[in-house]
Amino acid sequence: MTAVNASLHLIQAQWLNLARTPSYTLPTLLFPIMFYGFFGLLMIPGQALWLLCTFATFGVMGAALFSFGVGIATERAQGWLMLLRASPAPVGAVIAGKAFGALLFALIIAVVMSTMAAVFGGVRLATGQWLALAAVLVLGSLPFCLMGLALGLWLKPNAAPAVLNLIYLPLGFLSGLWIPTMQFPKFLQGIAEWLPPYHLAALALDVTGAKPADWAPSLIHLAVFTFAFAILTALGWKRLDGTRG
Amino acid sequence: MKNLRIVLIVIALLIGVLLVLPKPTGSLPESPVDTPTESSAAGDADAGPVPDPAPPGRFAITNVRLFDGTRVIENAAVVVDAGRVVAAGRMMTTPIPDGTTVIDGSGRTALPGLIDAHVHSFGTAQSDALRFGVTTLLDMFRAPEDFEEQHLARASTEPTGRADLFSAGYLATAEGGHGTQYGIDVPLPAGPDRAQAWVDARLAEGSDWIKIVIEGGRAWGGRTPSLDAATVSALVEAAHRRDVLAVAHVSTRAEADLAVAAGVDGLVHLFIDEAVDPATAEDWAERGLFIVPTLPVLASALGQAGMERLAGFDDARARLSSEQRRSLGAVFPNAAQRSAQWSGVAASIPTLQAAGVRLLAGSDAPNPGTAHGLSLIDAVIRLHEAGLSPLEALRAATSAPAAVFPIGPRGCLRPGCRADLVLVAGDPSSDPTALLDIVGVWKNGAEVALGIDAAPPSDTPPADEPAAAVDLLADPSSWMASADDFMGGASEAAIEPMDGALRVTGTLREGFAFPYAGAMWSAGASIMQPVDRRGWSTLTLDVESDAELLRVMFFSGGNPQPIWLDVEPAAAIEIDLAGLTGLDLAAFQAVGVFVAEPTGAFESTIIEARFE
Repeated sequence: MTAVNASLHLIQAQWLNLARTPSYTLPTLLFPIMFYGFFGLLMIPGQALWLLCTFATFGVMGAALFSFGVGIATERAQGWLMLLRASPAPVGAVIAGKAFGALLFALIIAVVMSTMAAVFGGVRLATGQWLALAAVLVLGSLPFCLMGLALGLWLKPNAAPAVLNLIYLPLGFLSGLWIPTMQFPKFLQGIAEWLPPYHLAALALDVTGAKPADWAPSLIHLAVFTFAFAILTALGWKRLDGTRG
Repeated sequence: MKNLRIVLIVIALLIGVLLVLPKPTGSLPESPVDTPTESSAAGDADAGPVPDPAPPGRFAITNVRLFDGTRVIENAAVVVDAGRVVAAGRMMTTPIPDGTTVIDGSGRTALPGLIDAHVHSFGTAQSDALRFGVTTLLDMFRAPEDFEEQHLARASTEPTGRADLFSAGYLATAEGGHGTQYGIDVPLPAGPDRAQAWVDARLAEGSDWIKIVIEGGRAWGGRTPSLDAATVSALVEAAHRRDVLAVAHVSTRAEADLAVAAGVDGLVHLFIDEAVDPATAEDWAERGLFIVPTLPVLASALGQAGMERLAGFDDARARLSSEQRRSLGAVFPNAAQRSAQWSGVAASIPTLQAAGVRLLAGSDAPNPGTAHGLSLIDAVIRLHEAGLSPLEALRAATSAPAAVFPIGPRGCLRPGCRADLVLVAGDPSSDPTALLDIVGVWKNGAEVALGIDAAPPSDTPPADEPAAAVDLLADPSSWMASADDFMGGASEAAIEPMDGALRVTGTLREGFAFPYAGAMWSAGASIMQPVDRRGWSTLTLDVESDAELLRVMFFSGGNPQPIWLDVEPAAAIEIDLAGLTGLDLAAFQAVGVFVAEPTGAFESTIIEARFE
C-alpha cells in the first residue's frame, strides 16, 4: 500500500514539476503548434489534413524526446537519479510519471492542432477519425519517450539539448514530417522508410484517410526501434552504477 | 489526490474537444432515416443462422479508392444493396456481408454518380448521360409533358437505363426572347402582376425550381427582348414564397447584377463579357449565391472544339450515340471571333472559388460543341484547369449540386445514399481526366451497359427513301422564305419561283445575333422533317446576288442550331458534305441559302441547286 502511495506521489511530483516550470512546458507545447500554424496552414494552403498528421507527429515526438532526454540528463547530473536509486522509492514510478507527462503533452498537441486544422484549415473528419488520430499520436509517442530516456542516460547534461536538436530536427525533416517524402529526391525517399517518425506519421495519415498504409510493416519498424532503445536504456542504466553520474 | 483529479478532468476535456470537432457535411442526415427497413433487413439476414445466398443487387467494390462526394478514402470498400449504399469506408472497418458479390477495385476509384447541373434533356439524353457516369440531370428548360413519369422514375430504386431527371420545366422569358426560338411554345410571365400565377402554374406542372432568362443578346453581338427587372424580382419572390429555388440565365455582367439584385439563388451560366473581380465575388459568396459556370458550352461558344477532349480516349469515343456525336461536332456561329473572351471566363473561376462562391459543374448539353454525359466530365476537367483542386472539381459534380438542389441523397457514397456509382481506372482525385476512363457505371445498384449497341435506338428514322441525286429547284413548293424575323430579328425575305430558278428578295437588318435572310429548302414532305440522306456527298449551287456574302445553313438531327458555311455568290459553288462536322445525313432536315452581308435590301437568284 505504501509502495503504491509512494508511486502515486512520485508521479504526482512529476506533474507538479511540469506545472510549475512553464518556462519548459509552454515552449515544448507551443513550438510544434506554431510550426503547424506557419507551415501547415499559412504557407501551404489546401494540405491542412496531411500536414496535420505529419506536424502533429513532429510535435509529439519532440515533447517525448525533450521531456525525457533533457530531463533525465539533468537529473542524472544533479545526482537525483542516484539518490532515488539509493532510496526505497520506486524508480519505475519516476519514469512512469515522466511518461504520463509526455503522453498528456501529446494529447494536448493532438487536440490543439486538430482544432486548428478544423477551424483554420477546413479539415472535416468523422468523430472516430479524430479520436483515432489522437490515439495513434499519444500511443505513438511512447517509443520516442524510450528514445529520449536512452539518450538522457547517455548524453552529458549540458550537451543534451544541443544533441537532441541535432537528432530531432533532421529526423523530422528526413521522415517527411515537414514536406511529404514524395517531394524528396529518390535517394532521400529511401532513407525516410528506415526512420521511425515516418512510420508513425504513416499510421496517422492512414487513420485520417489522407494516405493508406499497411499497418504491419510500420508497426514492426516502430517495435524494432523501441526494442533497440530499450536495450540502450538498459545499458545506460547499468552504466549509472559504474559512474558518478 | 486533488492533482490527479485535475489531470483526469483535463484529459476528459481534451477528449471532449475531439468529440465536438467538425464532421464532414453532406446532404445526408447522419443516420439514414429514409432507409431503415432496408438496412435492418440486410442486417437481420446476415445475423441469421442460414446464410443468405447472394441476393441480386447486392455487391461490394473492395480495395478501391473511394471518393464519397466530399473526400477520398484510400483502400476502401463500398457495399450496395437494393439500390442503396449500405456501407462505405475503409476496408478495415467496413464489414462485407457473406454472400455479397465482390468486385475488386484495386487501382481504381469509385465515385458517386455524377450530377450535371445544366442540361436540356430530350430524346436519348438520359441514357446517353448514363454511359458517361452522369446519373442525375438537372434540366434547365424543357417541356413538362412527361414530368409525372419522370418523378416516379427518380423516386424508384429499381434498375433503370436512364439518368434521373429534375427540371425547371418551362423557362420564364420575354416575348420573342431567348428560349422561344426552339419551337417549344413557352408560356410567358408577361409582367410582375402575373409572376405568382406563372410560378404556381410551373409548380403545378411539376417543375422542381424556377429558371428565369435574362438575356439581352449583347454578349453575342445582337439584341434580344428580355424580361424587365420588376418582372424578374417578382418571379424570384414568387418562387421563394413557394420555397423553391429561382435560378437565372445570364450572359453579361450587367445581366448577372440584375439577377443578383433580384435575389436569385444561383446563376446557371457565367457571363462572358468580363472577368469577375474579387469584391463582387465576395459579395456573392456572402449572399450564398451559387454559379453553374457551364464552361463546356462557353468554351464552344468562344471557339473551342468539343471533340478535342476525347483525344486518346477511344473507349469513351465509342460510347457516343449518333445524337452525342452530332451535338459534339456542331459549332456555334461566329464562335471563333470571340475566342479572346475565354481568358476572362477562365480567370473568374479561381476568383469565385477563393471568395467561397459555390461552383457547380454543368455542361448545357446538347448545345453545339457539347454532348450529354461527356461534357459534364469536360466541365469537371475545365474547372480543374481553371484553378480548382481536383477534389473541389469533383465535389462540383457531386456533393455541391446535391447540397444546393432538392435532389435527395445523391452525389454521395455513404450509407443511405442512392446506389449511383462510377468506377474509373486511375485517380481522378489527382487528375480529373481519369473520369473519361470509365470501367463501370451503376444506376440504382444495377450495372449500366456501356456499349452504344446495347443502348436504346436513337430517334433517327429508318432509311425509307432512296438518297438519289435531287434537283432542289424541281419543286418550288418545298422552298420557303426564311429570315431572322422568325427568331426575333428585323430582317425579312420573300421568294418567287421563276421558270426553273428561284428569285429571293428582302432586306437584311441588324437586330439579331447573326442576321440572315433568304430561302430554305426542306428535304422531307413537311418542313424540317428529318429524312435519311446518307447517299449525298455534295451540294452544288449557282447563285447570282447583289449581296457580298452568302451563308448556307444545314439543319439535321433535330438540332435547332444549323451547321453553316459562308460562300461568295458564284456560278459553281461545290460544298463537300463530308467536310461539315456535325452534319447528320441520316436525319437530314433542310438547307437554307441566306444573305449574310451587307445589311440593306438585296436580290438573289438561285439558278441551280442540286444534292448528289
